[in-house]
Amino acid sequence: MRKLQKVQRRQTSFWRASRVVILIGIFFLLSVLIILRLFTWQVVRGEELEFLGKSQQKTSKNVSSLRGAILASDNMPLVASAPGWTIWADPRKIKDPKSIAEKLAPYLAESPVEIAKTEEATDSANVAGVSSDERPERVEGSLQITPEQLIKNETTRLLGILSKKGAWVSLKPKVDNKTKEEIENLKIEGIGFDQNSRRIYPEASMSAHLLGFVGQDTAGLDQGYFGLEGKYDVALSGVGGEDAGEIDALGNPILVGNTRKINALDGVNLKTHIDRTIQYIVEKKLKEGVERYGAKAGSVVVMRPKDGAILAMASFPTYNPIYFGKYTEADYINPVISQTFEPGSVFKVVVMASALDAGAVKLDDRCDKCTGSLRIGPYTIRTWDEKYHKDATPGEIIKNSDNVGMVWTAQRLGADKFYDYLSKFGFGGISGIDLQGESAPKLRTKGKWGQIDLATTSFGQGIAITPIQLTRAVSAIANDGKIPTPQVVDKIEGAGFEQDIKPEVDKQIISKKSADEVTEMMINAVRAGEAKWAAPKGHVIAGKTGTAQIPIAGHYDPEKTIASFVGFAPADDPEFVMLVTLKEPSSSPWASETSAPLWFNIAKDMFVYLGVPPSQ
Amino acid sequence: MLVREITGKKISKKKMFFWVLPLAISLSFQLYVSNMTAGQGEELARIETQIQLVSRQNQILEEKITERSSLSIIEGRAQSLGLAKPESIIYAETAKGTAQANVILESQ
Repeated sequence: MRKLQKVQRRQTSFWRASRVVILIGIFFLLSVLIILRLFTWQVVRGEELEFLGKSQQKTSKNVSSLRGAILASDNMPLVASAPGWTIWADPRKIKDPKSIAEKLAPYLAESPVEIAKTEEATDSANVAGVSSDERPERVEGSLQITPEQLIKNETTRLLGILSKKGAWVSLKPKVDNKTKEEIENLKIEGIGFDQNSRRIYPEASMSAHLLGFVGQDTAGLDQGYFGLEGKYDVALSGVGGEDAGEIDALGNPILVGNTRKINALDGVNLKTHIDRTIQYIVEKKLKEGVERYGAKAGSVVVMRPKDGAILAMASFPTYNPIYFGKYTEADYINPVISQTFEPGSVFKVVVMASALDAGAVKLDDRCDKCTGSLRIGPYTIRTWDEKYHKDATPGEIIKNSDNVGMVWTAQRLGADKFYDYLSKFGFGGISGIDLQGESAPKLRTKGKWGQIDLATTSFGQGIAITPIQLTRAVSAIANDGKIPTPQVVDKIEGAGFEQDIKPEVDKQIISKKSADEVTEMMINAVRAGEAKWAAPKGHVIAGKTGTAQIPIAGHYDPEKTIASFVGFAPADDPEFVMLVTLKEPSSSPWASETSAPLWFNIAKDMFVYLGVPPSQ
Repeated sequence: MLVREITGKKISKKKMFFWVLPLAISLSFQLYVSNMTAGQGEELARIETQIQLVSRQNQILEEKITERSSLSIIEGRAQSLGLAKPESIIYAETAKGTAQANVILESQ
């Protein structure tokens, strides 16, 4: 009995001891499990859970800045920013891509009106002879596409996107608010909207070369290219901000939580010197002129000579900046600042001004070489009409646009002085205009001018310049011999500040007397020259025609020309200097029958608009 | 006790009260403010959404004004109203300068 009790006690004690061990074991196991779980949460999934936790508690979003507007001189926008939306889809939630594509296509397809606007910018250039193979990427003949075809094309495009795999695909960027609301009302699952901004052009393709366009950089962010958008990209873009803070379970901000708010700094507005009305007149008349004279292309630039303010600048064909992707890179280039040409006789006024200022010729000097054609080495210099004017004065040389007389003038000036004056007039360097993409064709090196170089340059052949260089040089004649720097932007306006961009101080490059003498010659060239029939009656205009041959493969094309007219008015107190160039006009090769009438036609409307009465 | 052991000085009840009371008040204040503002996040979110909406509507209105003041639109509207470009302009010298009058000739 005692033995049994002893055994029982031993067993009880064993079980007691065992229970403790089991409990310790269980606690140990649980501890290990907890440690393992904590290890998983803290180390293995630490970063992931930390991110999830933060995303539940904290929110952070980038606040984009609004791109600044480019304004005309009357403060009306030439281009501005407006609310835009990126329409996107989550293909995982799209059950029937075909029906969704069909539903969305009528809203996202381009309208025939939009396509017409795109083609309007280039249409008559095609009529004038720019072949479609020269511009392969341009939309051709889209006006014939019916709205039904456009919707069908868009449905195919959308179906292709919606059939992709992924969680986010962009259906169309920069969609306007009205379209976004219409699509939103369809209540399609898997279709979302991200707010951004888009550029609007109230005057469509007007001033396209001057403004440039906004595309995207490699990171997909908006970036300005060409013109003002390119030149002032950083200032227009502004700086984005950040809005970070803690949120509650419903996603509402916690007021006493940690917040960090950096306001976005919107881009500045650029107020330009561009006069909307003058720009409109110029664009309209230029398009009509290109069509009427059957030219391949044309450009007009209007500048105020007193301060270099660019009042208008247009080229045709142009492009529609909204649909910039439909054009080739060549279409973006602004011919006024980037394309070079041999100016021809319009250059004679610059040469004559230089010779008069240097004292190489005087008003009553007589050209003793003007009796006939002039032989220089193997070349023969002739006048444009094969008529020669013995003992012509400098004034008569300009009036008759006498090539031989100009050679006589340049030879009296001498090659080195000629070079110096050309440099003073701004040739061989950039004009300094505040636009992206200006080119600066070099002058032939000083000291290496042969007799034939001096001779041909005297009447504007064998030298390459840009239209803006010539406009600037003639502005110096109009501005009493002081050369202005062309300027497009007048003021930069930001939140709470305004910076007036002062024009650069004009340098006196020729005397006022020389400028007045050349002005008088130019007035006479308009009154009694070949283009006198087209000049508006009663207005005193100083101008000069120029018909330049086009160099091709080492010689000049016998038929093709660039017809130009440069002038300013009113001649005694100029409101504007204007240069008109027409490339390869087919109705007549002569400037007196093409670019000069176009110049006068534009000037007539400008006189009315500017309130310039006839002085005679 | 611990404080006394570390500093070797006895802290009076008055001093303890001086330290604890502001702490208690500020904690209570924080609790009160947190409690009061906790529910106002929704209001803030609503106001911010409202600001964004008004700002967007403002931009849309500006866009409409811009579009409607386009010269091509104005020209089209003027033509539809029967306005025509003057065919001749008469200038008259006056004591104060030159007066300008636009004349539209009647078509025969």
